[in-house]
Amino acid sequence: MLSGLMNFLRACLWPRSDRYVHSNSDTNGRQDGLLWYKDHGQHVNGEFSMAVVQANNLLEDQSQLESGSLSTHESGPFGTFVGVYDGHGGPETARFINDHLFQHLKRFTSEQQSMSVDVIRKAYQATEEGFLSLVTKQWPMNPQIAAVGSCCLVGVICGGILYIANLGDSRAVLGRVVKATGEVLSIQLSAEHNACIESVRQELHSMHPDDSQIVVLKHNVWRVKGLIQVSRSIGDVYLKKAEFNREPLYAKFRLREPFRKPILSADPSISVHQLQPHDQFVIFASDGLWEHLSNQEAVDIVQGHPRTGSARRLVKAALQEAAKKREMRYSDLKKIDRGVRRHFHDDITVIVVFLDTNLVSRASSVKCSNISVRGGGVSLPPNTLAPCTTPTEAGST
Amino acid sequence: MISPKKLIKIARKWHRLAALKRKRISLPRSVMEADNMRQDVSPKVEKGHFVFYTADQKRLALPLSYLNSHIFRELLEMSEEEFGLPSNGPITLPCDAAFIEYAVSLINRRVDKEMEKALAISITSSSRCSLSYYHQEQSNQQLLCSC
Repeated sequence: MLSGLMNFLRACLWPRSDRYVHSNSDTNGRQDGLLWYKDHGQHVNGEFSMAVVQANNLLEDQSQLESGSLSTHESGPFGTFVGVYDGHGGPETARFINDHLFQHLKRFTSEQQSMSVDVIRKAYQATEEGFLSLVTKQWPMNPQIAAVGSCCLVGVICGGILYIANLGDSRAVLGRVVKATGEVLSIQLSAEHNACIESVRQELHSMHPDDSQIVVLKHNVWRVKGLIQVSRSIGDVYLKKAEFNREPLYAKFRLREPFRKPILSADPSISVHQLQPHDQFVIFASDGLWEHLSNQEAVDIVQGHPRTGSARRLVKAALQEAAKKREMRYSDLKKIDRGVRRHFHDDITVIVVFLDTNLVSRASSVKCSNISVRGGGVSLPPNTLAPCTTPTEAGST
Repeated sequence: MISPKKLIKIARKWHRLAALKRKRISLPRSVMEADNMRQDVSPKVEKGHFVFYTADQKRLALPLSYLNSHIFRELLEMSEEEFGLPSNGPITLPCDAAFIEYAVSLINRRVDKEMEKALAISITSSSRCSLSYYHQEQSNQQLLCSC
């Protein structure tokens, strides 16, 4: 009774408080220099662990774990949503996705009364459209917003099914036990859209048969139009709509010839997996992790240690590898300031979601309380907030 | 932006300073020896240092504090422009060891921020610290003689 009243008052005084749990200081994770981590948490289908290390002057990686109702109704369906958004050109798009994608997903789930590939696809589309209208609005004041974009990796666990959707080069990897040997195998669940992959280059060539320069090798790295490594993203409006590829956008982003059809796509690759008892965990991470660890190395690290702190352990392993490549000590690498740090490694986000067989297989109608955690925590100093960050409409109904 | 007149004045001043006492950087012995002692692990470097390679293939190590200087930040930016961010190896700065020596001597003399900035601007406005030693030498000369 009293707690109900308190909740009501809290909801009135602090409308966003329902999105973050405030029961103790550890709930929103801990900060240690440029590293943020939440070693242990409980989602609807098991445990989880999150860690983020910043390298850019402004953190370009954003991430979230939402567990509980996946619709705007309290009646569910219930499950877990994981998002990893690796921004480029600035933090604005990744932040926008963090604030809007899950709200759209909840809205479409409510409309269709269930989770589906179609719901996820629509949520991506609505987010892309939302960001486009933000760019349109801000273009006169801040034209460089047209050259900001983000990769977008999403995992949804609902009713014993795991949906994986992806744009760009973040990656989701499943750890699956082989019964006979007890080994844990890594299985990559996400398709990637980076021009370093032959099939991605072929796709670009087939979609732009008249443009021999659609992908260009620059600094030994394949880039779409010599500008960007990923072929699909949210944002990057300057490569999707010709009207934003003009002055006063910086010359380096402007193409010599106008284009008629979008060069980059925002259509996610979505796969559906029926979870099985031997599926142990899923590692979701931005490419900052995968450039230093193979899928199997990452899975072995998670499997070989206690669940608590798994994500932080993976980040540490990646940083140790980065230090080795730069021929320096890990302890010294950690002392380098954000900004300069980008020359030593990328922003890295890791979310490890453990799958508890009993909890995964239970019906998506079994009610549970909502959990919401944002990678990097929520206490950003005001000066790091982009001017374009729009307030989240609670519930977005 | 700094005016050309002021830039020339500053450049003169630092040229004088540099000519006065051109001390060589004493690189930590352990760094130079590290390559010979190379084991399975990557070469170790003295604690508190970062490692980079120069365009003329020298492996150098400097204390981490140098990463805070305008000159090194500028050189890192130029390295990214020139070579991209290396994903599998060490950092290469787009200038030769002699230039680094010069930059270090300036930083060691605690030249003020203005002068560091001016040098950084000169680097970018001069012939972009081209890859070959020969060109680099030329651009260094330009840098020193333009005043």
